[in-house]
Amino acid sequence: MRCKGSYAARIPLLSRGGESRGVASAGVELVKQKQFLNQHDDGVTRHPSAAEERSLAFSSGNRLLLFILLFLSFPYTASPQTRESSSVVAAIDELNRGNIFEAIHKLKLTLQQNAAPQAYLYLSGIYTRMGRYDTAYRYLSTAMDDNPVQAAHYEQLGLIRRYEGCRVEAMAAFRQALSLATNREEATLWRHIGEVHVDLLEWDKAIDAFRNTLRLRPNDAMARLALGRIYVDRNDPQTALNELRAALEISPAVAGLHAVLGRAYRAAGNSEAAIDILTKGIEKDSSDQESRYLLGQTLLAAGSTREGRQILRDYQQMQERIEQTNTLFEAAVERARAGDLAEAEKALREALGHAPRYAPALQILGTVLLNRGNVQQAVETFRQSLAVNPLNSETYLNMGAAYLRLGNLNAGFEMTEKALVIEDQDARHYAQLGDIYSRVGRPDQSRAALEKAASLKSAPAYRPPDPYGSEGRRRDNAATVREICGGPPSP
Amino acid sequence: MRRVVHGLGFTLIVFLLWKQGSVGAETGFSTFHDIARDIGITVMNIHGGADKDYIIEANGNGAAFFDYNNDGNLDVLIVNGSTLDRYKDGGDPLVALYRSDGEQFTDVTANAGLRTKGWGMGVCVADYDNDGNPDFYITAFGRDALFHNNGAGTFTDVTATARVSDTRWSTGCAFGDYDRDGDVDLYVANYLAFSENTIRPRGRNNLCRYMGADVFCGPIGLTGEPDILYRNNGNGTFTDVTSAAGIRDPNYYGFGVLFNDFDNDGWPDIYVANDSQPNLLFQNKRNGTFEEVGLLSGSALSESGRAQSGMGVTAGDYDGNGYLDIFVTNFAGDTNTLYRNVGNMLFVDSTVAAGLGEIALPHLGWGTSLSDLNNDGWLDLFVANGHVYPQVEGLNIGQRYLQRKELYRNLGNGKFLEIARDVFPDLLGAKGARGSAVGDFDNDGDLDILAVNINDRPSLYRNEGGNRNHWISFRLEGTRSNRSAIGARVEIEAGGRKQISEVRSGGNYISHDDMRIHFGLGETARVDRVRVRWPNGSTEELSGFDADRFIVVREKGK
Repeated sequence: MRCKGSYAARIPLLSRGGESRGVASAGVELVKQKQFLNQHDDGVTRHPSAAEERSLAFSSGNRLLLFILLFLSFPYTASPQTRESSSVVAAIDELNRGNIFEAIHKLKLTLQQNAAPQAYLYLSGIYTRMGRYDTAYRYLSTAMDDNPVQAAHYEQLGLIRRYEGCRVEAMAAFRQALSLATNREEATLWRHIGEVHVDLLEWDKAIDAFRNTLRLRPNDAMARLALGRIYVDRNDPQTALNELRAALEISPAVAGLHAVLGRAYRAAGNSEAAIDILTKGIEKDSSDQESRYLLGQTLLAAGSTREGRQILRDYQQMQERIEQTNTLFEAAVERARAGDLAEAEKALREALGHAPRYAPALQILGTVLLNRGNVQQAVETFRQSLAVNPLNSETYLNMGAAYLRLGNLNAGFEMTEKALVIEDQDARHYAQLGDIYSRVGRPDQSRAALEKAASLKSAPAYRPPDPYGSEGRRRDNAATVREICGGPPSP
Repeated sequence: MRRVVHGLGFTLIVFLLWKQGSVGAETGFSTFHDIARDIGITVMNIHGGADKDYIIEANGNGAAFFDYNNDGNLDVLIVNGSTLDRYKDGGDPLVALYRSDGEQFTDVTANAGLRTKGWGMGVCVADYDNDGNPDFYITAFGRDALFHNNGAGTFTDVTATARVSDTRWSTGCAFGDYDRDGDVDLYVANYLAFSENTIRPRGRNNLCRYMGADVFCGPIGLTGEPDILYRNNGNGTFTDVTSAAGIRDPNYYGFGVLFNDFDNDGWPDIYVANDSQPNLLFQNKRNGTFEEVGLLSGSALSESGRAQSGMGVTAGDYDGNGYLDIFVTNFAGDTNTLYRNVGNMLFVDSTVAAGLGEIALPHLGWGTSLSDLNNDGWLDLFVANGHVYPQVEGLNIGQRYLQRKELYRNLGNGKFLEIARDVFPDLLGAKGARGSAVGDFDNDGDLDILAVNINDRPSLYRNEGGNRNHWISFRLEGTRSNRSAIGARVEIEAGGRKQISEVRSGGNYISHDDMRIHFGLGETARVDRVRVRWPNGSTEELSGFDADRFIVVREKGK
């Protein structure tokens, strides 16, 4: 069983202090690069108040826009206990600008300088949205060691558990958060609770929870969308339309809203309105396949056969590209693992022909090229991969290795450091760093790094890394379609 | 009582007159009792271990109602799986065959010569060689098997000579005469490429989790296998015509299969329910080829354009508009899907509108049938449920491993009302149901339900009281068309309403229903008109039958 408990008493047992506090342990310290030290102490007057807002920031269509929207919607007035240090504020400023890597770096530098519970919490939120739940949990548990009674901590715990699929544990955490929450925090927590009730197929309880959110925060578009979705699924299109129209007015950018509105209009027998809203949905977000499918079906049912078929053909072509891209990518990973690098490269190039911004394919292609000896091409491919997804430590590590092969120690060092910013518990990163220090004649630092690498390798849970495994997970179609359509990638 | 009636160029045999009691209460339903053990159907299903470490262990088996010895009583065939260990030694008996004497069932598997072993999955029945005796095909993990009915209570495994020995992991199958040449062809759905050597067991792969629990891996991420269409050569052999016929299955994980005429053009189309991937609808182009129209028809995905986990599939005209609708069972946490056929090969996802949405969410559906279980003239809906992951027990997520069945009464206004909870205690018993078959095994005028329970004994739910309403049942026999008359459509007019149904092989969840066509008539005691459209396209009109009879209709002779 994977689900872990969600109660405070269990958390400190898992990771208390020590090396989990950051990358400064074992004598290995990040280089404070100029751009990372350029903190902005003066610009931030509003901060997200809840873990969910933090997390959402870079998962949606437009990171910056969403962050700004969230900030405007939920102005933060920190209590004296939770007011962030200036360096944390600077990190949040980077988040606000969509610079996730820089935000992580600043937060970790903050942790090297002092214990900042809020930095741990923000890091936990960021890693949650990166799908790195173990790391997210590690930061959260450290934050809770310092201050175990904050609602925000339990809210973050609930989010981690929910994304892990552990709904019951998530519910317990959100309930715990609710017992500690201020009025302002309550609204978001009730929405989370409602979402978990939906997961648990408890729709009546979900409705109550979403209503509680709206009682506290009538302009919560996501709660209205969630309610609208339930009412559509309960064959109550009129009530659904009331909620969904309100959501549209509050926040037209909420993902999925147009499609559900289209369903509601269709269920209410208003095909014309359904066609209109679904068309707008596709115009707003060309990767909205749900709206595209619904539009095609609605047009066909309305007798607009030619238009409906054309829309569905577009839908189908997109789906086929997704399938082909995913299949080629998976085949390439398999070939690479089997040592057939030529075939792997061929499949990856084909996959990238379908989706040029497919970051996982770019990352694996770079690795394949590197291992085939095409180092310069590998560097260029890694650069393209990082332009799409700057949060993959594997890419930095391999790009660093490529630079080392080219004899460019400075660039290799810089990339290895960046890998460590994202992932500070990977033995390979320290091993590469130790190698670089050794080459530049810094034996003490080299030894420290290599000792850290050995220490990580000796951990009971250590498994030898698969060089092609970091992107081996099955990708969801939504992620691929965004990369085909040119939208922002999933972190 | 047996009576022979000669009509307008056809032979009509009314061999049984039956009416029991008066027209029933408002719903027509009384109750269902599980009598499997009492009447001798007791075979223990073997299908993997209790923990379900691999996907091969989880999908269970199908069953068939068919009258193998032509004595007028429906016999029962139940397919059996195996375990990974036993399969290495050849597996377990593929089937158990039970002969009915009208009251009790006797296990005649060995006497019938059905000794083939392996890892069986599903079954479909048809008289493929038109000799008057129904044969059957068993899908399997490993070599599939075609059993020829010798006509003396025995069967012969003719898989090799018939050239239908697909060795991939097959699941659903159906016979149908897609080219209308007078013999039935065969469609076999294939699932995925399974090997214990290449697929990690439960708990050994971080990606194989459900709601936080370690579960078996797949099907997502595993390599699917394409389906296959065999054309009957008319000489006891078949030819793989998959590609030539335009059956292009992009290696989807196939389960339930149907041959039915969805566009009312007289040519059978093919519908395939696929697990975790879009369902396929192959429209018959009337020239020996098909065109896949699932997406364009609206029958491939959910209303939101999402591929669901298609398991079982059934078809029937639930709203009485003259077109066959499709119902597909899906995974827990998702709805099953009712595709309403609005004509012109267009379907509308009417799941929610029909009242089939929220209530089904905790259940993982497999066997299913649109059948008039209370004989009120409207097709009701049965769903057999059971989760694939034993690990859901104790998660407190609103889902259980063993699950109750669902029974929905058709209200006649496009909506269904779930009634199992209220009046059918035996259907509420928690089981790991998989395949199911519907048929009137006791010939009392109402439809009964057989269900295969994974790693358990089967259930036979006898319908007690459906026959309080009037009914009529037709057994069709082709002469110029295929002998089983698979694909024949019967349309009746009674009480001012028209109803349609088709003779079908396979469907449900990898199972086979009674091939007799059964209509409920409500309080109407007479059928005014009967129209039969035979599989070869010819039609015959029959007039005037009293209700509550089993009628044999033989196609106008050669």
